[in-house]
Amino acid sequence: MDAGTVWAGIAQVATLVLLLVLVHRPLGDGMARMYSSLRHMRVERGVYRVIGVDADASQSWQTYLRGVLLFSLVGVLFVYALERLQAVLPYGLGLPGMTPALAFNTAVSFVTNTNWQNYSPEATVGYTVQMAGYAVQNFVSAAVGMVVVIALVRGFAARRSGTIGNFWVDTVRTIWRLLLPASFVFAIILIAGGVVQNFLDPTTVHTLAGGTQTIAGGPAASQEAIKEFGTNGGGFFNANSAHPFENPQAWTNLVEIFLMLAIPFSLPRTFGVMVGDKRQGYAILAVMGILFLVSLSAMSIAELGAGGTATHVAGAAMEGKEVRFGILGSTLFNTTSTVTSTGAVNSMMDSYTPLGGMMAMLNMMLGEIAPGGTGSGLYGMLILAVITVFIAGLLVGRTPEYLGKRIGSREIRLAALYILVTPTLVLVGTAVSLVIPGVREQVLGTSIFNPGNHGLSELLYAFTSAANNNGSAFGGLTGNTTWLNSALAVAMLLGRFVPMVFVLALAGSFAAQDKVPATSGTLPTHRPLFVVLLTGIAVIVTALTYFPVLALGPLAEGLVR
Amino acid sequence: MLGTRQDRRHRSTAQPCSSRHLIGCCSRCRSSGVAGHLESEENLVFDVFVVAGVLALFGVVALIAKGVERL
Repeated sequence: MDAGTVWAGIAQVATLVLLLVLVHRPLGDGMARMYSSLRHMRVERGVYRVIGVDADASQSWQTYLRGVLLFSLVGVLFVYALERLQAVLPYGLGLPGMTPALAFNTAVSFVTNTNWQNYSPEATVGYTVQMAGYAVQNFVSAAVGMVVVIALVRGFAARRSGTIGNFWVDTVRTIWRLLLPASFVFAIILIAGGVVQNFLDPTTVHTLAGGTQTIAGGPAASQEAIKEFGTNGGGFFNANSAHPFENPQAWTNLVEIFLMLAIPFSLPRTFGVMVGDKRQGYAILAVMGILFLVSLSAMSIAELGAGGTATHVAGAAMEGKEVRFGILGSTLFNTTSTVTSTGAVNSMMDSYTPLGGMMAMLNMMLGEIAPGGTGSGLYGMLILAVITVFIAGLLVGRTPEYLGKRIGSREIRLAALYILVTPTLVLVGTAVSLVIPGVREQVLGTSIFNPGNHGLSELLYAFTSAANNNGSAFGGLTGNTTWLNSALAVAMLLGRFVPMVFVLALAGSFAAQDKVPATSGTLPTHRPLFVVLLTGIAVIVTALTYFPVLALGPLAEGLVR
Repeated sequence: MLGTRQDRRHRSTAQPCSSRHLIGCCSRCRSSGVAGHLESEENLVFDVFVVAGVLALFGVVALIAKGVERL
């Protein structure tokens, strides 16, 4: 790897950081205003009237959660019906309906903001399902994640209140005022960069070698913008953002990376504004930034330092990577995709070095908090902040309170349960797939392409990605089997909504408390010490939970090589 | 995002299969997960099973929420 390429990569990162610094304040402040405003727009009032919602009524956490679950349940059933009835829908491209297991997996996947895809989109789904099913869920699933964290922030900001906002109002505003306008603008920008947007049937062309090739098109740009902005990640094409029709150039690559990070890196500012202390938001932002840069550096170093004959012949470890992006354009994209809950890829993780691939896995295992998905990243980080304050309180005898809210037995139990959900789904799901007779034979015989350590990594990655609602795949796993379609769907659904139960319960618990004034016994949570503590807790919790299985998979593979 | 290595082989030649195909008529049908007509009755049973399963999963989440209220 020559110095010029490395500097080009550094310039990309510097440009990205500059863009995020410029945008986080207006976007963060704008979101705070949007969620705090008492005024409804005319269109919004029309929506509330149609769905029969009292927009001025604030809800308890239980009612708020009921809204989340009901809305998502309807979403799953609607997308499932679209997929199964595809043969009779317009713009179906002559494609039949999906099989039930695959339709179940995919419907859950898009509603939970995971966007895991066990199918090849251009050969499986027509334009109606893509637009009315998947694109719509790209908007609403992102909105659901955001409103849940806003409910938690309101819990911190409230005093002796039994309510945390109105789910329907928050969701409608998020979609109408933020996601739709921004996605429209960025879809135009991506079209200018060469991303396709049409309703043509697949085109058959004659190649120079005398053969024929079928080239799929479709309304990709309109889906691409929200795919990244909502940290969804589901590709319009199978190759996802490695496909030239989704991500044609180096600058569209940078735009897509920026879109993935814009909301997650702005939400801490929203949090700071809403709790009345912007320094609190910046402390959280600092932890996110540190973890992001460390992860990016580790993955890039692993890929830049890869050895082997093929690497030397090619001049770099380019297997599975696009020449137009290069190594650093690929690691920047894939790090961003896995530290957020996006899961889009512009290069194939299965071809990464064992340690490079492990970094992608670690990003997800951290709980996708650096900066995480739209909403889900910040609430994951705030839960860790609660745990950090509690542990620090135990260590140095400080009063366990965060932002003036006491962390008692109920709060710490909710936070601990939140932390346990995802690892349980990941580790139990992986273990069960390799232990149960019948299932084991199917997984080893049909699904795992590479046996040994790498095969374990492929399976572990799948459950990690599903339970964390990321959606990226290692690529070497055949997921379209009855077992993996079903098991991964269960992991996605429970990995999305069970943590939300604990987050909203915590929001309700904090909202009901009065604020206690800071004393000399209060741990300052806006200082560098807290940033270091929170970073350490995030890493240690992950390391203790996942180290054994990582040692059997990517670590063993990397050390043997 | 993307699915499988098997799928990746398909992406360079990906084209829609005809809805008149029967299940298993070609490797692309098998790998892309589309259903043929012969499977339709069996699939209806699966549909009921899936809908019941989705309702059950959301029910489990709701039950957990009930339990959390008592914490």
